[in-house]
Amino acid sequence: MNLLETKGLGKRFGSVLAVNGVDFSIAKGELKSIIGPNGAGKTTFFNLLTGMFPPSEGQILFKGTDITGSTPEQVAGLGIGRSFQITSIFPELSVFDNVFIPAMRYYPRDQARKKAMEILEDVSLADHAEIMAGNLSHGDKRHLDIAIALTCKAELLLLDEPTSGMPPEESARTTELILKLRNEHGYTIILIEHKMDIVLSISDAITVLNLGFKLAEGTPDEIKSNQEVQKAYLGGLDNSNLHPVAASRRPNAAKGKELLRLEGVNTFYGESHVLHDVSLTVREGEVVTLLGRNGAGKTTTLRTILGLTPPASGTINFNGGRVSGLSPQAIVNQGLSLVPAERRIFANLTLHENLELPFFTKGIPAAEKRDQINQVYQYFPALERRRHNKGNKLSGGEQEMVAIGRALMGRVRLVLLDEPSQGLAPIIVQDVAAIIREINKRGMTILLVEQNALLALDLADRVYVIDKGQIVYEGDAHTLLADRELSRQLLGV
Amino acid sequence: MRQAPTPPSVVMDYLRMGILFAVVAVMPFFIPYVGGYVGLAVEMVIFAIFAIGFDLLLGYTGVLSFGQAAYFGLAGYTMGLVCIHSRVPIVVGMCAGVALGVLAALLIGLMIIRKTGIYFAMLTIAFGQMFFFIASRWKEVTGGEDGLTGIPRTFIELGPLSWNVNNDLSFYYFVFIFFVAATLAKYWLIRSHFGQVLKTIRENEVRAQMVGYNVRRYKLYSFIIAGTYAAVAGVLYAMFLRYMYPQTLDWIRSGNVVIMGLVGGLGTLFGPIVGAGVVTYLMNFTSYYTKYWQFIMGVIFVVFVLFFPRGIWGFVERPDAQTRRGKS
Amino acid sequence: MIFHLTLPTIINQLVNGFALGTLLVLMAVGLTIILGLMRVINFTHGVLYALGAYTVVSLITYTGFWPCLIIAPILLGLLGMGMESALIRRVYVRDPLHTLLLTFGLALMIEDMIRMAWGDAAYPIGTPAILAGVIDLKVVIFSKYRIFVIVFGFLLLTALWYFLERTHLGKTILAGTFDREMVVALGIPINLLFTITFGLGAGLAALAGVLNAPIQGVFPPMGSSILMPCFVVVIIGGMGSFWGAVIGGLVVGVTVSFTVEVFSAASEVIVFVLMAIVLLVRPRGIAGIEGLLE
Repeated sequence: MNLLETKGLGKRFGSVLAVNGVDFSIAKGELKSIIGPNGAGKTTFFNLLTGMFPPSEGQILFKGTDITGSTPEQVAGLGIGRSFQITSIFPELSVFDNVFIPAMRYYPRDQARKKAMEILEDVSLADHAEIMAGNLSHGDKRHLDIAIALTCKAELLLLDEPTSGMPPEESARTTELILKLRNEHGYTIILIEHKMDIVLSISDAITVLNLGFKLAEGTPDEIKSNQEVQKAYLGGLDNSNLHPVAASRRPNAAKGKELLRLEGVNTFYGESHVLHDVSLTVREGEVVTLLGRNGAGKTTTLRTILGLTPPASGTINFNGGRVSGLSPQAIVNQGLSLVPAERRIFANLTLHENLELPFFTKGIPAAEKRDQINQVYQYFPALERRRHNKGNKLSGGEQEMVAIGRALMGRVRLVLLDEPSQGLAPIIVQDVAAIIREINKRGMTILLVEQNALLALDLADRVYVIDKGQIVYEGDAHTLLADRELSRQLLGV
Repeated sequence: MRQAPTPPSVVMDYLRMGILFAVVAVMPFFIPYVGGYVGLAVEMVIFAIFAIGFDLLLGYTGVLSFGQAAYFGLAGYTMGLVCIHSRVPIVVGMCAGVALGVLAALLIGLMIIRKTGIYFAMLTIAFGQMFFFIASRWKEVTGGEDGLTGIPRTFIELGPLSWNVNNDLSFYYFVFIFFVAATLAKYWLIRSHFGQVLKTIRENEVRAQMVGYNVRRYKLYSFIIAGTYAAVAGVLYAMFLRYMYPQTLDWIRSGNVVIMGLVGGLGTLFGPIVGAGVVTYLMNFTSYYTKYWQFIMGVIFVVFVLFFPRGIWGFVERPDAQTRRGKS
Repeated sequence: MIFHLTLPTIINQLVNGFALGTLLVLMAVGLTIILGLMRVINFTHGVLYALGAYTVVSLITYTGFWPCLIIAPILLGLLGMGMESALIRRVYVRDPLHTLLLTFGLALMIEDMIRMAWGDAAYPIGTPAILAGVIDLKVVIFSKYRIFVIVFGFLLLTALWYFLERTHLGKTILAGTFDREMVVALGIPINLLFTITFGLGAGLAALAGVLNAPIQGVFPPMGSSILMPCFVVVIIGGMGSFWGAVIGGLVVGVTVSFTVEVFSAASEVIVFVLMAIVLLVRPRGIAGIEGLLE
């Protein structure tokens, strides 16, 4: 009998089906990984299992009993423990108390004390028992997060990106811990991870989710050779666009002057070390694309450039002047703009107003403003018709277009584009891609972050690949596009 | 395998509490030397009881209520009304007052505990204000704006014992007994499993639930306990003044206990006591020199929020310092 | 409770209710936008209202009533901006509880400062001559001043609406209540936006205070007594929503007026009963932004 089983599990948020008819099962003692590109529904799946919200459809069975609709406290009581992607501990309590107090729910006091120390020994935190949890290093905190999940007399562990924000040595230690938990202590483990090397090396089986539904399932080797899976990760292009790559290269692409330079940039989210010594350059007139798997640090790079998450060390220069350490306001006024992945159109303003908004302090004469906005309507004729519609009435594709248009307002020299193809139908993606080409042709420099690698490589002149926060490849875009094996290694499974 | 850390020494804790009790016990005798009087000392201790309970809710559970004065006032008025209109012994009146205060906290808590953050705080104000307006408008029963006069403070009778608490000094020691009980109770609560769970809720409510605790239920219990402390303080206050007035219930009065907690230091055993003492003393002291004590209070508050958010006792010791070592 | 409500009484109370409602709306709109954009629970709103009324007390003998409608909002708007940039800004990064406590402390201070400057007594303020008296329609009698308050308030709200929905600055503020970080990412100076918004809220509160002076007079705790009803309006209408504040204010104003007529002892409590009902049944209020400060 399977320890845990889901049948047709689904969750709807408004009109979005975050998890769609997922059948999943795991037997006692197994270690299964769940992977999938961004927005695949992995964390939502965990949230459903742990009772954070009830499913819209389907069932969850634990040891054969239907536990659908249980509350989180009940789920923990059954022996299902969960660790969190964003570290969730009790910062002002001691490391010992972090584990001891939860344990007291399940054991009498003296036994709980012993049990807590046992758990801390297992995660190698016993030495730190008396330290305030908030003072631990990032890696230790992640281990503590796992330790807390063990306190509920757990049989099943759900580990959500346990190695997130860890450098390779710590990731290796965590991987060892996970294996030890399964091999020596008999825990059954479901793992969400983005680091493919880990996933491929330790999983008994892998389940791939994409856009909420189960795409594939099998052993690591099976998944690796599964074309559908590779396509989900690498993206794809409608055949008509896979024309000889050379034709889409612009003649003046190669040697413009350097416009943006990052050198040795390190960025942290709290203590999570997300970018490690990132260096890259973008020259005027280029399209440079930054690729990588989810969680690699692509969006963080863009946010760091714009000053939303300032770098901890390293320098960023734009147009000859240093911008690292400046406020987003100052950086944007130098000529940078951002198209966020979620678009972030203001729902309470109309389309036209959304386009006008960036002109707040840019001191640009009214005539030029009008021209720029009209230019956007020329790029995207479909938008002009909808200019008086409020932001929340626009479709995904329209929102993307508005977000791009908005980013062109003012004296912009470099646009940071974050995953323009996300959530869009292929035909809209083509339109957007064509516009990106057009904008670039007219002289705009673009740094493009994409998950749809093939699309991006087709658009770009040069490519950087980032993995676990480090730049691991730099080169000519169409060379990488042509080298399928290398693409798969760097970006696929 | 390493041994589990030993819990902090109870001996030290009892010793410190012992010193505290000793200081408070002799306070009526030295307070005149610092410009005070016995009645002021009584007030300081009564509000200390109020603040101790409040701190359990905010400092330990992380729940802000801006309406604790409702239970304080309700209990005081009830005790007053029961004792004025019937011949029952004062002790019975006191129990009635506390019982009603606790009941109110229970009912209101049940109603509002699902809400969090600012919504919860606003609901506590709403209920507090409802009680305030009932107290100030229901003239026939509560005496309205004029207040309820004639609350008896004569003999406390328990079985064969009879204690005349009419004079302020003897009343002080009557209140002192409650203070000792209140402090010890809080100490045992925060060291108990219940208190430990409250801390996890304060630190990370979601995770506390995910490890299996019914967070809502714990918050409700904490709320009721805080209400109980408020009710006890309210009853004692009614007896102290021999009089109850509506302003004891309004949200500014609830705000005072928040100030006491903040100034003293939330999340510590001694903090709220220090805070209540300091704030009550200062309010009294400044009102000798100026009638603008509210201004002084406001300034203190602003200064503390900006520069000393951990409060006075927070300087002396980290909130709930069971950890000894520093950074790893 | 006696339901001897004749038509003239009903109409009269509607007028009173709308007049009171207008004042509440003027204050609640400021409060709700400050909440929506800055996530600040502004307890000083009440004393800013009171200071507006006290401006009338000080200036009325020199300038008469009318100039106060302009002077008070400007003065207090500047004060508000000063308070925000010098003090309140320091606690943004902390637990939202701290802004609540800070503004609460400031309110305590300022209320006593009012007593220091103007004394404890209440000042009655005469209705400006043109608006004194009533409009007698035989069937029903209206207070001229209250009609004025309603009309003026309506015009002001229209101007405010125009400002928010049609001017660039207003739209930027609205955008900020929706997605503050994106406004930052567009290079817009968010600190300046905060200061302006706070000043705007302060000015509106002051204006409400001026308007109220001839109706209720001016007395030191007037700020505390109106603050809670304002929060109630914000909660009923939905935090962060302009129209919610408008509808909420009118609903509360009319409800209070009718309660005064029908069961006057409950007239102060009724706002809280309303609030409790709304919070328990539909916490987002009529039109609130979901998840704000949950």
